[in-house]
Amino acid sequence: MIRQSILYLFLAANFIFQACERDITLDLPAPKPFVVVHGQIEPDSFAVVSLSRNSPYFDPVDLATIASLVINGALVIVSDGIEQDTLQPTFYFQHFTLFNYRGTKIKGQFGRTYTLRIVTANEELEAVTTIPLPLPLDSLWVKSRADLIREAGNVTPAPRDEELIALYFKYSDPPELGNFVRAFSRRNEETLWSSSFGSIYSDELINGQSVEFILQRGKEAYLFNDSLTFEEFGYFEKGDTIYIKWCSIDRPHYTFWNTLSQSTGGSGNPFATPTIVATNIRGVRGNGLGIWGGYGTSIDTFIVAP
Amino acid sequence: MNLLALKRQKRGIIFTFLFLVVFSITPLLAQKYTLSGYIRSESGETLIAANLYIKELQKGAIANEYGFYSVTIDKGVYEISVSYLGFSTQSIQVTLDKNISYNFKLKSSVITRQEIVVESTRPDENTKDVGMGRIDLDVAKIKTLPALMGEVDIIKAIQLLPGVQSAGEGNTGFYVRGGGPDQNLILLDEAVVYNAAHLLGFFSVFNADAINNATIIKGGVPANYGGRISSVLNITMKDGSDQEYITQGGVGLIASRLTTEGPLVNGKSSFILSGRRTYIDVLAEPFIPDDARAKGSSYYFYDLNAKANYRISDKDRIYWSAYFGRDVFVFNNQESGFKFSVPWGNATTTLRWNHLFNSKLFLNTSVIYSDFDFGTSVEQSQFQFSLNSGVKNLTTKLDFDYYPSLRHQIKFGGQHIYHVFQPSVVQARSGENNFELPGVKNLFAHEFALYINDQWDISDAFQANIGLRASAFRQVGPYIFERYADPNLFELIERREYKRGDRVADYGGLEPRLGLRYSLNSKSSIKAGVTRNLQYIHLASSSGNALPTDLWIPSTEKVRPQIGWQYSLGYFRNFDENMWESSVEVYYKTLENQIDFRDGAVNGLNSNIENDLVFGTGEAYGAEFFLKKRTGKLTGWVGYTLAWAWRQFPDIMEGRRYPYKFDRRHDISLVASYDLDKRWTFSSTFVFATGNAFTVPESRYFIEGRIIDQIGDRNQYRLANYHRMDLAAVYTPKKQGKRVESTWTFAIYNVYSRLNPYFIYIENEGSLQQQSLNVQAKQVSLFPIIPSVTWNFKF
Repeated sequence: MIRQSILYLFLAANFIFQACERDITLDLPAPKPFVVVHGQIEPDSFAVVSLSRNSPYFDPVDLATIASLVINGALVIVSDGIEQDTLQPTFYFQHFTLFNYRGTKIKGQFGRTYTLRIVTANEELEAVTTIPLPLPLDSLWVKSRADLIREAGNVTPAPRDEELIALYFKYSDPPELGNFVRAFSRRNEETLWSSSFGSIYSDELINGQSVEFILQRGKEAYLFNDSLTFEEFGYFEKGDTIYIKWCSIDRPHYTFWNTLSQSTGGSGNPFATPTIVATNIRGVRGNGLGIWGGYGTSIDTFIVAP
Repeated sequence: MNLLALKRQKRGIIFTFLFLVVFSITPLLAQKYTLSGYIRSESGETLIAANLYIKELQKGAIANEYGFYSVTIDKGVYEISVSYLGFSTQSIQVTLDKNISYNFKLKSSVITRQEIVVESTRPDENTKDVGMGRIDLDVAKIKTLPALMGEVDIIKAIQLLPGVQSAGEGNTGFYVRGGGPDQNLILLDEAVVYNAAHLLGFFSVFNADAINNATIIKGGVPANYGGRISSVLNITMKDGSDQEYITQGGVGLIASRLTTEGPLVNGKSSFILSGRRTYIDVLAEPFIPDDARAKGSSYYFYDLNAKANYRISDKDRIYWSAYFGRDVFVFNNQESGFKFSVPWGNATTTLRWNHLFNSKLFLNTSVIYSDFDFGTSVEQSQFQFSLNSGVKNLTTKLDFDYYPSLRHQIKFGGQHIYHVFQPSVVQARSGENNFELPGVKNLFAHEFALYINDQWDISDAFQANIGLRASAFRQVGPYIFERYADPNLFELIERREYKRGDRVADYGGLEPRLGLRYSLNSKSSIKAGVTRNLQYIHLASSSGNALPTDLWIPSTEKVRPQIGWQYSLGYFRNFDENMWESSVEVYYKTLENQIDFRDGAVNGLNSNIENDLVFGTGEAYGAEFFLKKRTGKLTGWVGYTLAWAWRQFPDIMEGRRYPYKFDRRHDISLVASYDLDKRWTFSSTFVFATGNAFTVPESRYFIEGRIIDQIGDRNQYRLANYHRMDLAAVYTPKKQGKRVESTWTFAIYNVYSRLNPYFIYIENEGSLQQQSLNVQAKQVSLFPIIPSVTWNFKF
């Protein structure tokens, strides 16, 4: 009798912990207009800038809507303190962004500061960034997923696990605090650099020390390849030629990506006030969002044995 | 405030004190004698704040926290009656021609169910007591109310009172009159309980079997309490019977309880030991196959309470009590070797010595240690990461009760608290390398307070509660002060480092407390109160939901102490020979130096959490309506609260005022309990509350193909209204055999299965690459209708 009732209690407990959910409608007012800036400058390259607008929260999203948000015809000027470069309309796709303005005069240099000025019919915005000195990696090596499972020692790896490759890196941080990095990868014939969830690093915890860590394969790579499974996420494959773009960035640039990953990744706490994505875009007239960021780029190549 | 000013204040307090003592001794010149002693239950349990009533004088007195009472009155013959919640009233005839010591022993009336009519407190306490917003809870009565999954919860019963709100569905976080969760002083045998919640707030840490008494003070906090600005929840553990050994326990839906108590030395010394543990993990373990991916994952919580006391003589008694509780959550993934574990919990211990100098002067000395710890560790192959945070304190206290005459009940004393805060210590290991966040790990501070409080019957109709508390706080090093030029912390403009023991910041101030009661007639009275409270510690909460990840931090050079002012006014009236009590109270409250996270703060690694905080003010006002039926087969109450609560921060929303997260316009509670006969008691509760405020994204934009939310103003939206009805029936069968008593509690939580909102989230269906994306807001509800059965036994 007692045993039975305990079983019933247990079944009831299972039933209890199932939450239920349903669709609701939120009645939101018309949003305040913002100019969304995504601009970047790298050594030996012209500045590129993408300008668009924010859209009402529950509007359906398709390519036509996204295209309608693009801002063309703005005055976009980059200055290095000596010269000015008025960016020209372009159609350049990189970093999963369609850049619609590109410089023609000023190429980025390590250690320099660049000012961005944007003028539209109703807005005037300003931003400043630097291209920090490069922080190169010490070394790269790989381990198969099968080896990782064997190290954990509980489960036998599947044949496919032998094919999946985790890329490791060693990085030595300079002695002074305040170094930040954003990493991208691409492989083989891919032309787009992509970044993974954990693609930004701060030296707050590791300042002045050496660290070894896994570099995940960029997550955007998966957006166009539905055949990859959850288990394969973040791994490269045997025989890949891997390119790593390891970029030092300044604090505002890091803060932007850090808050952005918090806001999209979700902090896992539905009760918390949502994270507001930081911006270094300053509205002189009207409002701006987004980032104007310099990348102190260094590129490495690693070929995984077939 | 500098130390000189503080000394001046202290001198002022000493003068006030001397004045009061001299003033109150004068009436002694008449021919007066003192009747004093203790009020306890038959089994030796202290009856805290029991009422003593002198029929001839139509005057009363209240026992202190240790059951001690003292009345000094003219020579004569008196009928003295003593009453206490859930106990039968006892009356004695006293011929007072010398000082007399008499100990009352009251019989319980609930547990034996000998009488149907339960005489609870002094019948006219509602209108005669000067205290406003102070409510004693009858733990035995709470046990008959419906509870979530059958787990009797004192905090959830408190949430049914007007002016006290819950954080949300099934949550034990509570909010008093627009104040924050850190502004409630939660005491367990005088020890601070920093986080009173288990399992993400669904259950509180208080095991009702080990609890003797629970009192909440939501306004007009007397001067003997300090350190928090909203309320005091004072919970006292049982002493244990000094007459016989009793074992009791219960088997419930999710947890089991076992308590044993008894005499160590008959009539002189007793102990109690009580434990509770959830057991879903234990029951589920055998059914999980060894090769399951998540084998080794589990969740449980437990509580242990222990207390012992020894009566050395009529004048001296010592108590030791302790609490230890933990939540343990482990997530294990065998395949990847990934292991995530999160233990957290409270520990407290209290050592007390009661000493009676004479029949009028009582002293309690306490040494208290209290601790809250939270840990997270993540392990995967060669990587290891851990985060620890916590807070602890060591308190020493002296509390005097002085009863110079029937017109005065004076409390005075002082305390020192040594605080140690560990906001967050992060450690990581990668292979052979170890990493630690730079900066300071622990923060240290001293808190001092002196107080005096007099409950003074100025005339038969007019009573005053006058108190003054002087408190001071000193933060000592190590500490790093940092100031940034901009809210996003891009540019550091000032940095100062303090070494261990260096004086960093001093704060202090006076905390006047005043309460007045004027009786209009024998049935009604008007009460008014004004209090100023200082609070030197803060809870940096990202959720407002009493999650264990919230961090306690001290006042520092940067974070200033919280200041609360509360003004309240009320009308109290009893009907039908005190069978019905009613009251209307209005309050207005201001809060200074409130903290919140700045916009764009990122939860995670941060060597100095202060840099992520912004500072502002709060304002709250409202009205509370209360109607209670005290006696008869049917008892219960209706409470309604109409309230507003606001916050204003210069660095949030450009300084515009916004609703507090727990701003709740309407809050209704209905509680009814019906004693059918000796076997059956039925009860029901109904609650209605305006939906919680929350923040939503107002628009969105695209960066690198990702959809980014642009967040709108804070707390501008409301979840759907919350309402729920619960039912319970308690059945007491005939005694099985000679000794075993048992009861069955059948309860239904959420009878009409209302899907109340727990939180909402926004889901993106489809993807950008498929060129179609639908955005849908979803509301998550947690608890549908939940029946439960609990079996309790006692022998």
